[in-house]
Amino acid sequence: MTQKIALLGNPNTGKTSLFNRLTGSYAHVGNWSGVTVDKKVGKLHGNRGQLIDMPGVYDLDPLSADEAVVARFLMEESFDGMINIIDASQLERNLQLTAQLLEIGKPIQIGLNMMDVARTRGTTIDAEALAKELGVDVFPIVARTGDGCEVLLSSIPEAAKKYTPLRIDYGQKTEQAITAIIEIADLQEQERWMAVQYLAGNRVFVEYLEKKSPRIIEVRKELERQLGRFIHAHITECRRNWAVAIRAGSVVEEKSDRKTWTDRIDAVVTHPILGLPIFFAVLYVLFHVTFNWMGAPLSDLLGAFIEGPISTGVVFVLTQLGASGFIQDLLIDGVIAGVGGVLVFVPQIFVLFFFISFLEDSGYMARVAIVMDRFMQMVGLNGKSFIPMIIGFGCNVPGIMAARSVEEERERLVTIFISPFMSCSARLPIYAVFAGSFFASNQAMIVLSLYILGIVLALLAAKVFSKVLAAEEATSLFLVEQPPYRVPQGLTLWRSTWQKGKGFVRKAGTFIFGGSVVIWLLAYTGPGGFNVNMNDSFLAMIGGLIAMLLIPLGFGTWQAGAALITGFLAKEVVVSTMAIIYAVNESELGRQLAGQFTPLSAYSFMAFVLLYVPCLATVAVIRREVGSAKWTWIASLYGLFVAYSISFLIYQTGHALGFS
Amino acid sequence: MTDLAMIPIGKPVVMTDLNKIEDRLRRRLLALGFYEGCPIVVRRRASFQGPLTIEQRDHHQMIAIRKSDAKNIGVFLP
Repeated sequence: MTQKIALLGNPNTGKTSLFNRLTGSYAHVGNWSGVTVDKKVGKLHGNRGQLIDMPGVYDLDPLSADEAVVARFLMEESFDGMINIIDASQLERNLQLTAQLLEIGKPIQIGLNMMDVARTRGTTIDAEALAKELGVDVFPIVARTGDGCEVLLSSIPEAAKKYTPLRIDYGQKTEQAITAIIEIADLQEQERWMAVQYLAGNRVFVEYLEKKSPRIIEVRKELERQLGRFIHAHITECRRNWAVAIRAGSVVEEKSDRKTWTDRIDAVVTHPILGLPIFFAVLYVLFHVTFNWMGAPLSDLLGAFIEGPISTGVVFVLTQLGASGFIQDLLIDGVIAGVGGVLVFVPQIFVLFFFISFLEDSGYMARVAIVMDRFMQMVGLNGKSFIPMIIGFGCNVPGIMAARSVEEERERLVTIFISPFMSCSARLPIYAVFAGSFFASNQAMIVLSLYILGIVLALLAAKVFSKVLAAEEATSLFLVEQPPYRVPQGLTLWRSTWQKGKGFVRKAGTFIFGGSVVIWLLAYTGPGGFNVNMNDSFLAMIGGLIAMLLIPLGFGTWQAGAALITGFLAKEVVVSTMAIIYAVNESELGRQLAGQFTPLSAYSFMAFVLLYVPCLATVAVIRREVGSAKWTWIASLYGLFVAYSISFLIYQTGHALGFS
Repeated sequence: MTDLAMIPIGKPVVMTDLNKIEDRLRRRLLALGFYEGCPIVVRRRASFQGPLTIEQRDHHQMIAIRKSDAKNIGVFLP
């Protein structure tokens, strides 16, 4: 049996870096009981078992759905040991969690990270003394570079030693209550930590233990009365005193009042007046680099490669094999046009994901939450909701999952509902084709305008949804840690870019491949048999049905109708479909479209594609995160109404103003 | 005694009353090392009555909270 080790720590302590250092690749993504939440599970180097990456938490007491995963895991799953990563520059705060982990009494190793940051603040930690104080192994590590990670890895015990749980003295009254709870709820002696968590009001344990033995409620109430204050405040204070003692025994400190880099950067990026313009400038630069500087040239290179050597190579091989005309057409006009039309955008998408990962890792996202909080509050949301929205620019699926970090349930739901308006990278190929051929000289500006259109409509939708969902007393929790800025580390950046981007490549091999074949077949066949004129094909008939509805929007052609239907599979399929319909490759597609669209109808079409329905994968994740079929339907379909109204407005107003 | 929202930037104060804020906010503050009796300082204020960035002076923990919540946190000017 392979052993299972859980990786735990505060947020922003370098947990992901350490995970990447200790494991080879992501072995699989597993589901854990309770809420269905994806956990990263990695294979430890040297066949030492599995490492399970937990969400970062400050305390086992969860305030959000995301954090509840940790308490549930520790309570319900069987595991063999724990690795606790500690930020040396915030020792006291980190030890609060460590205390709770030590109370569990499982084998535990401590990775002491960011000693360098601590040193610049005038704090030197004696790791050996700390190990002695805690009674467990402590390994100084630099997770960013991997220093010390080897030692930690090789010291993971093969067979679990016996560990005695830490016993913090919580004072006579609390200790009596703990004993009473152990007795009434019939807990084992080594389950004392559960009783402590229960008294502290950890809702996972409250739910579990009160169901088991409702009588313990009395014990908790009585203790609260005796203490005359919140129990959790008392328990936290006891742990803090413990942490202060540990710290005193292992830390040498000198006063230093040096202004750090973080202070200097913050003075600018969270500046009362400059903060917001800077944020929009950052977004603009991000898109400009993605499209104009890096993404587009790379995509052109890849496009030339697919159209040139690959297409001719396939034609040559097929002719040599004597393949029938049907097969040749299927592969060239169907598969290569469809899949190739989307694959050329892989470089742009990776560049975008790279920048999003960079912003996440640098610490800037936490500042964005501050800068945006007032505005988000106006629409009934939270500054924290803006982070899932930005992640949604990459892909709506992780964006919607990131909404778990929003503590308030109402705010989390609204964040999920508006996420599909965030223009994800799969919509990029569509913009690239249309903006490239109709607005060549100011492509970045046009694309940015679509992103802003998405944001503005998302905020309006948030206002409406907040009103609908508002309870009697609308509370909201906003507390965002402001970690010091860090230069993101290469390996972690690459891993998270790849993690996010690989789904896109995989889709090209599955959804888009399958979709391309079906679309090509529908275009190839018709009531008149095979190889019909495209205008008499089944696809033309299907597209024609909705084309009439699209006339007021400026693009009432059966081609546009068919592309929009298939776009539900995945937004980038719109481009594949068009490439197949017009039987051209991606670079010529723009020229073909010039005859079918005007700049105005092209813009109206892009706006429609941005808003109309979330893709299949997004609908699936909304269903899972929202947990209600009714809300999934509403979240998936209200966009259609918005899209129609907006495109109608754009086209009709533009027309009236004399644009074409 | 006064409330945290009134304190000018850079003025060292001591947090004295966390009873009036919402339970979850109190739990999170405690977990981050902000407790009754701890030394803090306001570092920044966002525009348009936006969140305040406050620092725990003992261990330099920085967090941002809303002004409306800061109004309910009691502080003491030493």
